[in-house]
Order: sequence, then structure tokens, then C-alpha cells
Amino acid sequence: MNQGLRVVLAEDEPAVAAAVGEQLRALGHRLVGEAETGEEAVRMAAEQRPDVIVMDIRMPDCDGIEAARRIAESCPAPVVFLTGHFEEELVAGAVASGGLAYLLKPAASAQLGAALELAHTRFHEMKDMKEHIARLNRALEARKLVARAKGILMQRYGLTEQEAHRRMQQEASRSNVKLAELAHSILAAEAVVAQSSGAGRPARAAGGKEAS
Amino acid sequence: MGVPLWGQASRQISLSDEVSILARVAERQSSLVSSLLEQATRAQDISAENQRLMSELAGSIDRIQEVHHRVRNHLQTVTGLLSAQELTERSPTARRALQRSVGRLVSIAAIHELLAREPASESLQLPELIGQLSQGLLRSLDPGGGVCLKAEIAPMSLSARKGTAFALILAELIANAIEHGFPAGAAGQIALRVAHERDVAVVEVRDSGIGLPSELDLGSMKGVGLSLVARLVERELKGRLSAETDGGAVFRITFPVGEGRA
Repeated sequence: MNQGLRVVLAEDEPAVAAAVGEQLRALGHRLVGEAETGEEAVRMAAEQRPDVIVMDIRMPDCDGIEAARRIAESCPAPVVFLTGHFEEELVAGAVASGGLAYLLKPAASAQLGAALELAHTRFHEMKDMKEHIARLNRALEARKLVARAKGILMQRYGLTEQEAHRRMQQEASRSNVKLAELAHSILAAEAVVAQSSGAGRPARAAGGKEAS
Repeated sequence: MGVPLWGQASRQISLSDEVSILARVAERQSSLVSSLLEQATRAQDISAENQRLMSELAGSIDRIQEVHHRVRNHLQTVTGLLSAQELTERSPTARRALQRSVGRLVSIAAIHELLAREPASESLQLPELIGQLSQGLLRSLDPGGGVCLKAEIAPMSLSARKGTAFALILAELIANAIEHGFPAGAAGQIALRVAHERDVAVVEVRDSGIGLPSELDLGSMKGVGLSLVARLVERELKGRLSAETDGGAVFRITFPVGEGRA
């Protein structure tokens, strides 16, 4: 059980906010902010960095869906919508805003607790997955760089792939840089050479004519 | 001098005749035009009235939605406070009593939700009602999650009034099965069956628990739960309630329905 979550509650109706606040407390969570408008919810999400946000939809200023969208952009946190509205376009908007649960009022503590736990767990799974994907992408980019650098060495100096790879590894460990960084330097050097030889070619051609 | 009106006219008409004919034609046309104008004005009035009614209707729908929204907020406040109290209550008896109250609220909220979504409909579809009801009810009444509910529901509709009674009855019988059938949070199964046999609906709530106490007398009950069930079955559903031990406890309700509609 994810007990003791830090929760921001956004609800404009004071009686409902009081009751839901009691539910959250009874479930063992800690209320770290109470917002009455969407704007306040966005501000509290940024200030408090809560574990979960329980969000009403119809609120003054900016509604809960807009607030959730802005929170997802600026300081992502799992959002559980708790609302008295069930219009299709609101549900669609809530899904599009990145919300992780949609509870229709009234929600008893059991439902609220389950939704909070689910949203919190899913949010972290998704976060881990995003980080994992970013790591894989970086690794893939590094491999591409190394492969291109090897290609250059093979072409310029007539090396085999294994030989090119071995030399790059040797140089990387000698100068204490990562293989990808070395590959980057080789590619940069190649670009400079290609540029200057590209610029030099017509000049050489012209010089050739003069010579003849 | 007259002009032939048709090429093959065998007879010439006089100028005065022609003038009077033209005058009559002009008169007819002008009355036609004025009646058309009148009709157009009336059509415009009707369309303006329609527009006014449509915007009034849209306003009413918005207001109804707003009222539903407010009801849901009130239900949230009551459910929230009761279920928060339930979680913080130390005494098991008090906790059970609060759980049952939350269960009742869940039932009433489910009915409100179905009626709010289909404002024009005077009847409730039983499979939909039970679908809406069962999960919330089980979650509230069995927080441990050891009990599973199996439902087999024949398509049938109930009036809003009977549907409300039905939802409350179901909340009580499920609460009863969990509280008495599976004491101390034991695991088990509740089977709910609603069948339609000719003009009678048969509702059966069967649990795999410890069975009924031997002294249970449906006629003289002290607790709120079963006495509420007995009253609602008799007064609202005009039906009969019986109970027996067959494996676990079995509660059976039969009540008259029309062609799949009560």
C-alpha cells in the first residue's frame, strides 16, 4: 500500500473539500495543499511537488483539465480527477490531459484510496519507462556515432572494422574519454577536413590550369 | 380594340372586358402576395419562438445538470465523512455500522447516477443498475477484498421507484452476506442471480459462508438491515422474501413483473 502520500487537493466546494480531506487523512495520506481554483492547483503542484493531486474539474479561473494539462507540462505529478460531471467531452479532455484516474462523486474511501494508489504506481512506472527509453536512445545514438567514426577510419586509412574499433578503443582509454566522445571528435575532424578539401578543390583545379 | 388572348381564339373580347379581367387577376395576385407575406411573417414568428424555446430548453438542461452536480457533491460530502469516520473508528461494531451506511449511500448514488444519465427514462435496466452498483458496494463493504461477487442477471427493467428499492435491498443482502457469512474477513463467494420466470422476477443472493443462525426469524428482526429488506420487498416490490441455509445462506425474493418490466 502506498500510504503516507503527499496530496494536493483541488476542490472549490468547501464542504466537499473538508470531507475529502478527512478521507485522505483517514487513508493515511498527508494533505500538503488545498486549492480552490485551477490556477492555485498549478501553483501548489509546483511549490509542493506532491505525490498525487486530487482534482475537481469545474472550478473557477481555469478548470481542472486545463490545470492538469499545465501541471503535466511544467511539473508532472499523477492527477486523479474527482468530479460530479460525467459529460463525454470532459472524460475525453481528462484523458487527453494525462490524468490517471477519473472518479465520479460520490467516491467512498475505498475507491478513493485504490485510485490514488493506482495513479501513483502507474505514474512512477511510466516515469521509469520514459527514463529507460531515454537511456536506450542515448545508447543507440552513441553506437551510431561510433559506427560512423569507424567507417571514416576504414575509408581514410584502409583499416578493417576490427582494427578501426581496436584503435578507437585504445585511443579512448589512453586519453580517458568515452568511445562515443572520441567518435564525435573524429566526426568533427572529418567534417573540417571535408569542408576544407571541398573548398580547396576548385582552387586546386584552377591552380592545375595555371600549371599547365 | 381587343387582342386575342389565345392564338386559336374564336372570339374577340372587348377592351372593357379585358380591363376587368386584368383588374381581377391583379386583385387575386395582390391578395396572394399579402397572404404569402402573412405566412412568411408567421413562419418567422414560429421560428423565433422555436429558437426561444430551444434556448430555454438548453438552459433547463444546464440547470438540471447543475442540480445533479450539486447532488453528487452533497453525496460526496456525506459519503466522504462517513467513510473517513469508518476508517478511523477503533470499535469493530462501529466500523461495521459505518460500512453498512456507506454501502447504502453507494446504492442510492448508483440510482441517482443512472437516472441523471437518462433523464427522460422512467425505468432502470437491471443489468446496468447491478453493474453500476456491485463494484462500489463490494469495495465499501469488503475493504479486505476477500469476497468475490458473481452475477447472473436476466435483462429486465424496473421503474425508478422499484429500482431504488431493489438497489437498497441488494446493498443490505450483500452487506449481510459479508458480515454474517464470512466473519472476521474470511474469503468467499457471493452469487447473485436475477431470473425472469413468466411474470415473476426471482432474485437470489447465495453466499458460500457459514449459513443462517438457526433462530433467524424473518418476521421479527431487530437489526435495521433485514427489517429494511423485508419492508421494501413487501411494500415496494409487492413480493415475498424467504431465507434458507443451503451450503451457505440463501435469500430469495420473488416479485411480480410485467413483460420484463415492473
